[in-house]
Amino acid sequence: MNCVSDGILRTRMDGELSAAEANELDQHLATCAMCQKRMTAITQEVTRTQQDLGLLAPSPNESPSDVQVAYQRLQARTRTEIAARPNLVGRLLSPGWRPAWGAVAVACAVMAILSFSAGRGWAQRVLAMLRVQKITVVPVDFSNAPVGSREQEAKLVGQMISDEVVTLKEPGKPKSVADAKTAAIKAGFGVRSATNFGAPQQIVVRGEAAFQMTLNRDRIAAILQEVGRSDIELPNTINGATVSVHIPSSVLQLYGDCKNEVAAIERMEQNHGTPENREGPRGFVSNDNCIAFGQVPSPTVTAPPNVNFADLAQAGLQLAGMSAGEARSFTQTIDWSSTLVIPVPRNITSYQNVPVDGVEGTLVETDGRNGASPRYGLFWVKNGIIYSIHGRGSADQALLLASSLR
Amino acid sequence: MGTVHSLIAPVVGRTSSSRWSESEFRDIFFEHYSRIVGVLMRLLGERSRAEEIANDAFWRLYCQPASAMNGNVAGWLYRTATNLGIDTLRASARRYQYENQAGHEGQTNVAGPLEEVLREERCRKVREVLGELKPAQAQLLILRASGFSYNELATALSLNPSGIGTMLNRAEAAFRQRYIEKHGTEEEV
Repeated sequence: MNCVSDGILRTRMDGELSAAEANELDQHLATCAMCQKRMTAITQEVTRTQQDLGLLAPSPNESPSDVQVAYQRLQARTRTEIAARPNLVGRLLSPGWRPAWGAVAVACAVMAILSFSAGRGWAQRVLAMLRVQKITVVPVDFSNAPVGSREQEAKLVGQMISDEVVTLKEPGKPKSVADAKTAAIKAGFGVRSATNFGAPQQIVVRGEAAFQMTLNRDRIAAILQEVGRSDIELPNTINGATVSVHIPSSVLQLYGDCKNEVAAIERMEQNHGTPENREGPRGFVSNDNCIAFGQVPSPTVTAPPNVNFADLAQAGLQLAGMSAGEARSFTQTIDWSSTLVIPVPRNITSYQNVPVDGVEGTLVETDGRNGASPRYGLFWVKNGIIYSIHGRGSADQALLLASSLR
Repeated sequence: MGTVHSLIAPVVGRTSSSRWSESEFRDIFFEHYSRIVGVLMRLLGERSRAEEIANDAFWRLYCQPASAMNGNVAGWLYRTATNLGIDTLRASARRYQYENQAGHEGQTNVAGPLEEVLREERCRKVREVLGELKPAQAQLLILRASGFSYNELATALSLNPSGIGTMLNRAEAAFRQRYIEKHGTEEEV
């Protein structure tokens, strides 16, 4: 046998050679002074490192928690994280603005996926337009959804939209302004304020955004297959189709004790408008005494003429975890050309229609988890503006604030 | 080196569907949780932090389609957990450096016996050096120190078993060199 590498000697030292290999090597070592010397050096180095790393061994009284308890903790987290997924309107109106554009993009992509012909460039006629006139809620079992985290969701969105997203207008950083009048001038629409909660602690304006995207059917099909939803059928005709989205300027006002939220906004202003990882919109309002009031003119989605919104929405709802039958039944009840649908977790969220601001609104309430107060979101559309009030604690606060808007 | 656990066999045939079934995921959790926490405790020196990161690793697994595991759930888990642990280690080292510069050093340990204080300081230095190695080398060293066999290392880190000895030698040499650069040779580690 010839001399062997340090790696083989090390493997022998660690007892990881087969018996036959070890025997052969031992015979060689007995007669090779050079290999013996190298083996000694390796043994010394290994011993030293083992001593170093051995220091890190946990003490016997530091055993991990009972695995059953740990599993229950993970289950609780699973329920909480799924419940905390922000909805579309929440994203639109929360300070986590950037994800809102992604959410709208998903809606557009899903809507555009199935039903229009290929080869119609954007320069052709603008043929169908979605403008939000009302809001409705659909309960969805998110545990059936193929994606499980916001990071993954964002990645999926990025892949799903298309290979070619052209940003026509960047929203820029959110900007704090002194009062509602200034906000109205900057945002370009009549900004309303509450009168019974004192002056807002902060008013923030985010600029308008616009983008268009070209769909790639093969790419979307591959992604659907990757997430286990190859059963969602895509027509062959969508390849190359372009949809366009315009999201007007938005205004957010904070009422009550909102120190943490104001600080978060200040960080966003310094951070290109991107929320920090741990301060996404779902956790934005952390204090029971802080209420966030948002308003934005309806975004518009423009697509080629023969778009079948119901079919598209059906695909989107299946992607969100709904069965094909449920999605079909639900989509038949909705006017998809004018309704913004908010998916909410089925098991831990309640919702009801409530009179608000002279129209019918939707109040969504989520159970408090892990000792936190329950969360609420009140949404309505009036005169082409989408309004949202969200916070923690009693939803009566939202109705009270809405009653004082002027 | 500790008890050799079964890392390879239990994952065979587990990843046939795109979503985890409750029982499937539970089995994986019960099989690997304690060992992963043990590895992370070595890396971080703090049980609660180790459990938090193990929880995070399993949550990320839950978020992955089962079909994305390519038949190696355990490997994915150990890689993810140790990567998260190394990230935490690096953040801790930066925080320690900051506190040290700000004059807060030693506040937590002054009450302990001298021997324990010195031991903790040596552990901190070892962890600091681990955090500065290439993640793959740090993973190799910490998993080996946690009792992983060569086959288990190969599975967990997607390596060729025949090259493990060489890679361990290199990782140890890198560890030693970095330690000496940072802390000198005047003391035993």
